[in-house]
Amino acid sequence: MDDKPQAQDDGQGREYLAFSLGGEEYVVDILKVQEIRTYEGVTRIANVPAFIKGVMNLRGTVVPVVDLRLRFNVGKAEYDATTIVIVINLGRRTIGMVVDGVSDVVVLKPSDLRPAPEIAGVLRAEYLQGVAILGPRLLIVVDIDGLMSSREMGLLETAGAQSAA
Amino acid sequence: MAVDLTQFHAVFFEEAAEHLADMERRLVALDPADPDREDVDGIFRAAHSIKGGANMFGFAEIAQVTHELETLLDAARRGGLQVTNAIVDAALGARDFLQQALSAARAGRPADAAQAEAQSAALRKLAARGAPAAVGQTAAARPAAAVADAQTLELSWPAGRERGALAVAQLIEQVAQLAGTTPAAFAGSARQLQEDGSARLVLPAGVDAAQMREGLAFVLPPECMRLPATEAAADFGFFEENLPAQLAAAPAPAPAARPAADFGFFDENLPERLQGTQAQARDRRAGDRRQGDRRTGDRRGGAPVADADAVSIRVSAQKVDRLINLTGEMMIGVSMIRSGAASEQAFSSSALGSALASVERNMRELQEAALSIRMIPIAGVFARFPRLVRDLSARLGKVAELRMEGETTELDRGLMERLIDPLTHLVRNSLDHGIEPSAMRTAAGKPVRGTVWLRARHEGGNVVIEVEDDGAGLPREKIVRRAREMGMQIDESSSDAKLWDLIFAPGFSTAEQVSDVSGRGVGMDVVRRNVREFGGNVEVSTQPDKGTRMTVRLPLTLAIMDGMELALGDEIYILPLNAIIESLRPAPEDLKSIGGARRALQLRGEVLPVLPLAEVLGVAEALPITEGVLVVVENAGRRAALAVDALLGQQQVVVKNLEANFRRVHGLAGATILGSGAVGLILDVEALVQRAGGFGRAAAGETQRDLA
Repeated sequence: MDDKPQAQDDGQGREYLAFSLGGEEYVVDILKVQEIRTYEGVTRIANVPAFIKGVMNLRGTVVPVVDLRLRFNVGKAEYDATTIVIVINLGRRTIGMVVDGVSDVVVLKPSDLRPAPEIAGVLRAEYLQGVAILGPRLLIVVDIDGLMSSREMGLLETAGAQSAA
Repeated sequence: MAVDLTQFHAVFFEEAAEHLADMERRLVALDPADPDREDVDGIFRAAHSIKGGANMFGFAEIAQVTHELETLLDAARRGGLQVTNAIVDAALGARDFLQQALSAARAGRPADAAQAEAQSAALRKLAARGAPAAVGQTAAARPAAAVADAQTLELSWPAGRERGALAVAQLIEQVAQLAGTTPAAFAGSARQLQEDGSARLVLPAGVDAAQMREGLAFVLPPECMRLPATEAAADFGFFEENLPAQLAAAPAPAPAARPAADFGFFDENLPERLQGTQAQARDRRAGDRRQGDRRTGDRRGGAPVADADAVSIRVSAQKVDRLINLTGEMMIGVSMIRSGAASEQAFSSSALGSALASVERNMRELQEAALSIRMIPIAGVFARFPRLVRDLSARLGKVAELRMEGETTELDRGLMERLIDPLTHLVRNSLDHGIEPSAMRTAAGKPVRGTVWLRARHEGGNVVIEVEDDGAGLPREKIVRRAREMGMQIDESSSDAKLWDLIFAPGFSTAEQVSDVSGRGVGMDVVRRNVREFGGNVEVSTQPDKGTRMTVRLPLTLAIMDGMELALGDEIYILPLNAIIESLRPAPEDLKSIGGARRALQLRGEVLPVLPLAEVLGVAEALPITEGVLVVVENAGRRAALAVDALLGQQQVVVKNLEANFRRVHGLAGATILGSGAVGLILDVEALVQRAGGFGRAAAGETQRDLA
């Protein structure tokens, strides 16, 4: 977990997991992805925002699951055997997120990245690290730590509580 | 190429914290009249180790202060400097600074350089006092030790330590350095040491055996080295291990000679607060010693260097939790196989069935073993109290000693940290309110020195911790008066139990004046709340002029809880079993409606608020109250009836906190993994009872239960 992004940047670039959300294609650093699972056995929690679907058992660890489709009002929030949960590892925390679908793993070189335009996508620009154009595809690189620890996700107590943890 | 040292910081901080704790323990135990050589050495070693790390990582202030501390202790160790209370206090002060500096460094902040300078100066000053003597003493001693010509040093490799080539080379290098020669001179011996685990080294003439011995004491337990010349020197009463005579260089002075010397130090270095406490500290220490050899024995056994048997390894709590998680998962897997197997003919009487039973048994043991890793002796918490009592009794001008029993009692690591505050509060209270000033004790015919006991033991599935003093006991009249002032329904005829319980009421204090120690009336209620938060309880018993005993009862572990599984619609929740008073199927006539929508249960003359859990938890299809079950729960003296569909049964659950990956959720105390493999949520009884509200019962809060 200690590898700094820069460490691998010289030369061949890094791997990213691509997923779709509301017709847009996002990528997240694959080192942050712990695993991909189907959506099942999620226990509902009362009195939390609707996009927090609840908690699931990940080999004995209780992991919250958020549905990004609900959070950002895109796609159809249906749950069946094909619903996918990407389990993200944010240092000490593990969080599951539901997206429309997972497509593939792409390799991006630092030179592929350019600043994210200040246009309104599904995700606000402050949670984006940039965009990359790969052939016909426009890939939006998500700052997953920033997004998941943001206040609007409501996954952490507060900024203060987080640093105290 | 530069190595990034920061990756080793965490290890350094952890080790330094251990050294500091060890240092404090030894300093507080140190009796200036008869300093235990092993303790002085231990303190020196601790300072030395911290200094090494601090230098390596560039924590200049820490290195500076440890260096001065080391110099001071070295003088004391070599016997030139008489250990005094002033030295102990200065060393404790330095230790406290080091702790601050370390936590600053941990947080990435610089240490307070001015304070480091002040601490260093204080230590230097004390060391300087001993210096002339030290020079004289060692100068006299050295020739005696150095008389031997060629000497041999017999080394044996310590049991339990890995005999790697690098480690051997390091040891040999150390010897060479001390002998003033090069490692090459011992090449043959090094090989032998590596191969056989022991070797005989011929040292060049003129090597100071004493210095060699002391130098090696850092890297080798004493029983692993033999210096024949030192044995010879023992005749001079100089080097013998574990004998007071070994302190010949620090002759135990005639007691009459000491006060003058001590006061000399006091005048210059110490605030007046200590003047009066010196005698008392000595008293207390004498008491410690009288208390028996058992403790000394314990302490020796726990010495960090020599003990090869009690091998322990440092493992991150995360790894342990992972192990516990995985064993929990395995348990679930096994029980799923079991329930599947029940319907299979093949399992019922065959070898498969007995194999499964044996797997189940082993799994249970494995889980117990895994959970036991989290258990550590309570000594870690107790260790801070001798210092607290020492400082506090000095500040309060009281004479008190602390006696501890059952330090080896084990409890959950997670409980340990949360115990510190409540226990600190109780011990402070005992000293401040319990133990009387000396004059009063004398007048009452009690020993001048008050005693505070700190005891721990296992009792059933609980850990019981007692804080007891032989002080004045709780003042009944004052409590009655104070309770009336606060408008409580109390009179002289109220039972003792009711009265004593009042001290746990918020804002209740009978202290005549607020001291900086206690008496502000915040405290006992917080203590009780804290302890109840982790499923325990505090009780008080007291006798006038005999003393007061606070008994804290805690569950053995936070990790496992007895729970009751509840069904609500198709969801399952868990209620802590210890909160459940009873459950019943209500008859329609027992349910009254109050204020329209709210309902109440009439139960044997009592009226309890009914909380429909399905509504609170937003469960869609739950049974109407009259068709389900009511569970009467109690928290902090308040009761409520929770309406659920059904009780599914009692279950031991492994408690997991939601905060690890998520955040606290109001109304939930945690989560666990159910037999089905899904997450089950554990309800927070306190929040639910609060939400249910009271019908007049809630107003007086915690004490209501005993007054009703």
